[in-house]
This record gives sequence, C-alpha cells and structure tokens, in this order.
Amino acid sequence: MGSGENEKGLTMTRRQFILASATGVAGLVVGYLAGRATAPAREVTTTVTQARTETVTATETVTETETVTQAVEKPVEKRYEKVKVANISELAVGKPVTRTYMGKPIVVIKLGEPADGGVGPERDIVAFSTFCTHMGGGLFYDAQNKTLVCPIHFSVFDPARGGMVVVGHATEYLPQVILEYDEKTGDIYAVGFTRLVYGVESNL
Amino acid sequence: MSFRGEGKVPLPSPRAEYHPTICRFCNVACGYDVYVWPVGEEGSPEPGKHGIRYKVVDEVYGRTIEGAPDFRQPAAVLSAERGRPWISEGMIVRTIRRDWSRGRGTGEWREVYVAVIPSPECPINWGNHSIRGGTQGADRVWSPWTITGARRLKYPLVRFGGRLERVSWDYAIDLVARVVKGVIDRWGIDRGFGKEGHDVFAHRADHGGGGGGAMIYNTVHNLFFFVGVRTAFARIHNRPFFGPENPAIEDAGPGAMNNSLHDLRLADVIIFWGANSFSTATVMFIKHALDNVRGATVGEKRRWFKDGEPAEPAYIIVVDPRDSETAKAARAAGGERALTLHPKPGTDIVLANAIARVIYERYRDVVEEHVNAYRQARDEWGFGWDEDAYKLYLEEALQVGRKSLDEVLAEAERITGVSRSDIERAAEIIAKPKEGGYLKRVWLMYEKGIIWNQNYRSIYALVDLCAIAGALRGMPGNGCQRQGGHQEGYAGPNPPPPPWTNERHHVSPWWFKEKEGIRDYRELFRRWYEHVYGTYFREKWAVADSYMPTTDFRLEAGQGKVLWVSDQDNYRLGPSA
Repeated sequence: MGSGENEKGLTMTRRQFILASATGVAGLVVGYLAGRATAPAREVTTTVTQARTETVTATETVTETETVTQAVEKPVEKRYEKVKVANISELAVGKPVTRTYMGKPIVVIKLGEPADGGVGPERDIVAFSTFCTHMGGGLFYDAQNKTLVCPIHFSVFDPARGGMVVVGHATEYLPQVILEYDEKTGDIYAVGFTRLVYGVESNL
Repeated sequence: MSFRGEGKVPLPSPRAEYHPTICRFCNVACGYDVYVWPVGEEGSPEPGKHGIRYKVVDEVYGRTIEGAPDFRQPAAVLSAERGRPWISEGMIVRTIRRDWSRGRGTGEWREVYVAVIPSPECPINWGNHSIRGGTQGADRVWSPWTITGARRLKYPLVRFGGRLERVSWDYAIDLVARVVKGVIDRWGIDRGFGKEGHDVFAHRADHGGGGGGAMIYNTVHNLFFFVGVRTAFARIHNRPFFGPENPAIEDAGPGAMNNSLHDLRLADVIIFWGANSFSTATVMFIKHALDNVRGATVGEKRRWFKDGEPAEPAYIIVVDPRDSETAKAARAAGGERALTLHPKPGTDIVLANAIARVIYERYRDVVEEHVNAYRQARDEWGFGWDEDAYKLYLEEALQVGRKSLDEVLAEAERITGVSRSDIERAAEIIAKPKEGGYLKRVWLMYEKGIIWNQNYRSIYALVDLCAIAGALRGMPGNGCQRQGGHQEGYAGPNPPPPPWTNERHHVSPWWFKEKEGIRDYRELFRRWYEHVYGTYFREKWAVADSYMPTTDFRLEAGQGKVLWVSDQDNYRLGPSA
C-alpha cells in the first residue's frame, strides 16, 4: 500500500494541470510522460550487495563497489498538442462541425447554452470525440435534444454536461476536448482530452 | 484507484491470471474475462506481449475468433465482436491482494490490477456489455482507493446505550445465536419434529444482482432459516412473502424461465410486453433483438428454417404504457416493422384478448393449425392440452359467440386507449402467414410491467395469446417466457407452512379445483374469484396469507420477535422498511 501512495504521488508530479475554463472543468491532464527511448550510454555507479556464507556459523555481509557501463533509458515526453480546430465565425447553433485532433475525429458544437467546459463569449462552444464509449459507434448530433446519439445501440450523451451518459450502455463519459479560446482572433484551440478516447489504451 | 480521467489504461501482463466468469447483474449472463496481474508488470500492445488471447469456434452462430488482439491498432467500431475489445477506464481497477504463491490468501499484500473485460468469445454477448457489466472492473471490485472501498463496513457493530460500538466477530455471532435460540425456546411451536422459530422473521437475500447472493449463498440461507430456525415468515427482495412471483405461467404450462437467445435471433415476430429490455436486459435486446430486427440474423434463419421458408428481418412489437427506451429503440431500428402500443396501465388483459380475438377471427386457419399441433402433442406425447379450458377461453375471454368482433374492438379501444387499427395491425403482424403460407415464428417476453400488479390473470392472458399465436410450439424462433431480472441460483428447502396449516402453496385456481373437487370450469372460476378477491377487503389478511404468509404485513401488525435482515438493502427494496 505504501508504494502505491508513492507511485500515485510520483504520477502527480509528472503531470501538468491547467484550468480549462471558468465554467467547471478544472484540473485536467494535458500531458504526461509515456514511453522510453534508448539514450547514449553513460557511466553509472552501481552498488552491489552480496551475502557470503562462511563455513563457520556466522553470516557476514560484504559491500563492494564496482563501476559498470550500461544503456540507460531516457524518458520521452508525450504531450497533448495545441491545435486550432475552428474559428468562432465557422460555428452556428445547431450546426456542428467535424474536425480531427491528434488523429482522432472530434465534433465542435455551438450549443446555444452555457456548457461545462464551454468556451467563447457564450461559454457554449464544446468539442467531443465522435466515437461512442460503448462500442465505438459514430455519434450524430441531435440538434432538437442537444445530445450526441449513437445509431448502433442508441447510447445518448449530453454535451452540455461534460459528455455525461444520459441513456444507454456506455459506461464512460464521452471524452471532451479541452478547448482554449482566443478572444482577439476568435480562434478555438484544442489542448487535450478529458478521458480515454474509444479504441485506444492511451490517448498519447 | 480507478483509471477514470487518466487517459490511459494498463494492459494485462502476459503472465496475468485469467478467470472466465459471467456478469453478476441481469438475467442475460454475459461472459466476462477477468485478468489479475501485479502492478509493475503491465503488458505491451503487441500480440503475445500482453495477456489477452482468444480462441473460440462457434458453430451455432458461425463465429471463429482466434489469436491475440493487436493493441497497437485502435479498435474499430464493434471490433469487440471480432476479438479486439476496447478496454475502457471503467473496466479496470488497481487494488491490493495477498500473494497466493504459497497458498491462497497466505502471503504478503501486493498491489494488483484487476480488469473485467466483456468477452468476445461468449456467445451471449459477443464482447458487448451494458452500463452495469461494463463497470464491474472499476466500480464493483473492492479497492482501498475507491470511494466504495473506503466506505466498506469492516467490523460488526452493536448498539450499546444508543451508540453503535465495534465488537468482535465472536461476540457478534454468539449474541445473535443466543437471541435466536432464546426466541425459539420461549415462543417456538412444536409440530412433532422440534421447535419451529415462527417468531424469527427473515428479510433475506434470495438471488443475485441487487438482491445479493447466488447458488451456494442461497442454499446456506435456506438451510439456516428453513431447516435450522424453521420459520415460515420470510420475505425476499421484491415481495412481502416467500413464494413464486409469476405462478400463472407455471400453471399455464411453459414455465417462467425458458428463454433462449438463439430463438430470439430466429423469431419472425418479437414481442416485448411490459419489459423495458433495452435498459434491463440490455445485451439481449441491443445485440440479439436488434440484430434480428435489422436483418443481421437472416443467414442464421436460413440454416434453421424449412426449405423455401422466407427468412426476413423480424417484426417487433413493444407494449408499454410509457414510450420507453425499448419502444424508441425498436422504432429507430425497425422502422415500418416496429409497432409500439401504449395501453393505459392495468388494461393488458383486455388488449391481449382483443388481439387474440382478431387473430381468431381473421386467421382462423392459422389458429387451427397451431391448436391441432397442441392436440397432436397431447395425444402423442402427453402434452397438457386442455380442450375444455380452450373452449372456455374462446367464450369467456375472447367473447366468441357473445360479442361481435366490432363490439370487442370498440370496447378494447375504449378501455385500453390503443386504437382499433393498432390492435388489428398487431394481430396481422403476429398471425398473417409469410409468403408461401409459412406460419410466423412468434416469440413473446414479458416482465415487470405485467408482473408487478395482481398478475395471475394478466400473465395467463399473455400465455393464452402465445398459445393461439403458436409461440408455444417449441420450434426454432418460438418462445413465451418471462424476461427475468437477475442471476438466480437456488437450491434447498422451501419454508415450512405457517403454524395454522400443514399446507404451503400459492393461490391457484387449479389447486382450488383439486381441493374443492370442482369439475365445472365456470363454477370453478366463479368460486375461485370469490375466494381470492371477494374477501379481500373484508378479512384482515388476504387469502394468500393463509398458505404463504405475507411477512411484511404481519410484521407491521406487530408480530414477530426478531427481524433478521440478511444482505438486503431494505431501505431501498422493502416498501415497509
């Protein structure tokens, strides 16, 4: 249990957190260390502890120090990219646009009502993965109910509530794209996902 | 800890322990693969470098899955059906477990991952899952780092002087045993084989899912309460007594739980009556019913149908006062082939009988063929077909010879609120033969919408509709059954009869017929209704209580000395809690 606490603490220090928006989605992961690559060899000092049993009844512990050369893995940082996904002039209420962010299809929606994690002057622009978190069906936007609906098994998600499942079988919230809004230009940037996107075991 | 919000899940180690199991929740019993491996031994995405490998050759459904999935490639839509599951953040948890290498539960505590992944191999779910089963990893496996884990009660508590105090297990067991033994000794009755503890009332778990428990667990409960304590006063999770929930379908013939998902895939007509299966038996509905309605099972039908018999997507009828998720999903998937009926609550008998009357009038030859099959089954195989009861059904329930079809439909429309055209359309869907004169294979399932009322006659009406629609013929694609709620495993004795009688049984006209020696059916039902309902508001207890005591009502009336609540959340489940 003790090492678990340490591991958790270590994980936390690796992360960078940002405040996604003023409307509620706080402290979301935008990047962490993942994967390792081989770096050039360098000298390290290793301490070897050996237990040597003598023929007498006593056991003696001898510590030796030796210098060896070995390859050391250097951590490679993977992080979410900051990508412009739309300009506010492209968006109208009830007319979502589809984009790609880090190789994953997303939909950018102007909901016409303030939303969790929403950006823009009305705090109503949100973006989500378009894969259903049940079995990966491609979601469509139901403008009348302002929901994202899967046509295969009919799971329904609420984009105004952080992608909460409102009907159906998906166990996980729909991964929301964390957005940033540039007030001067009206550009909307994607900077990360809140959750694991369907189909992969790691977002990065 | 769960992995929600991490954006990453670990893969099982190649050396992970593997345990095949089924979901603990609803009656569908989807298959799940459980992997357990130590923290620090995570697998890699390449095939062979993680612990997941499938091998299944399913000749019934024509599926072959073999090999290890490649997690380097993102899962495609529905790829779990083909052996590439997506492991969501809800399927996995980090927890602790004792090292088993020197024997189960003997070693050091170690951190492990537990992943509970819907099994692509299982013929029930094909890798599909509901919102319940899909969260068994993160939300149902105990972990010291989850909220449910932290809140778990670890020690028995006894109230001393108004305050709950922690006590040892020895103390708690000794205390409970002394109280129960004392009550039996002082107030128990003796019918010649030792004292019976009728003053110990039990609110007990009886089956899986929300009620807790399964086969072994139920058996232990049965032995303790019904052999050891010998109390007649027990209730289970959803009813005020210990007895059958829908005895009519047992009395009527087929029995409640005879469902086969294979039949559901082969049926020409699927009827969900008072069953919101989209939400409550999810994978059965979204996988097998929708596959059939969308035509994905046509190839399977050709294998099982007669030569030349048309194999087409199924029609689906959903009967529910609400426009439920099941009704909406049926319309969305079935289009023209879906019919949803919304009767006023409590009018199902009238609706079922009106549909049956239309079938009887317009498709008489179809009915005759089915009924002749039952007659033949009676003559050749001892099948329990009752010709007198059938005649009575036609006259009394369907009003044949008493009211015209028009009169019956007008009355049904007024009572049920379902339009005459919808009733006629339902009858046509059910009974109009397919091209070439082949009879439709009808499959009907009911659940709580029918069960949770005074359900004997409403269930009988549905089984009768099944009979004349041919759903009882037992051919591939036929079915007439209850949906069911949870996993159920049950073994052991029933409770003893209550102190005032030596008989314990549910209230059935057929039992009443034997007891009273009544031969004429009209006489039987007149007197049975008087027996059951006529006294309902005049007597302190309902008639049923004589044979199967209504434990809750007697508890409320101040009876009993001990209420033993065993693994039930009465606050949620027991209305009289």
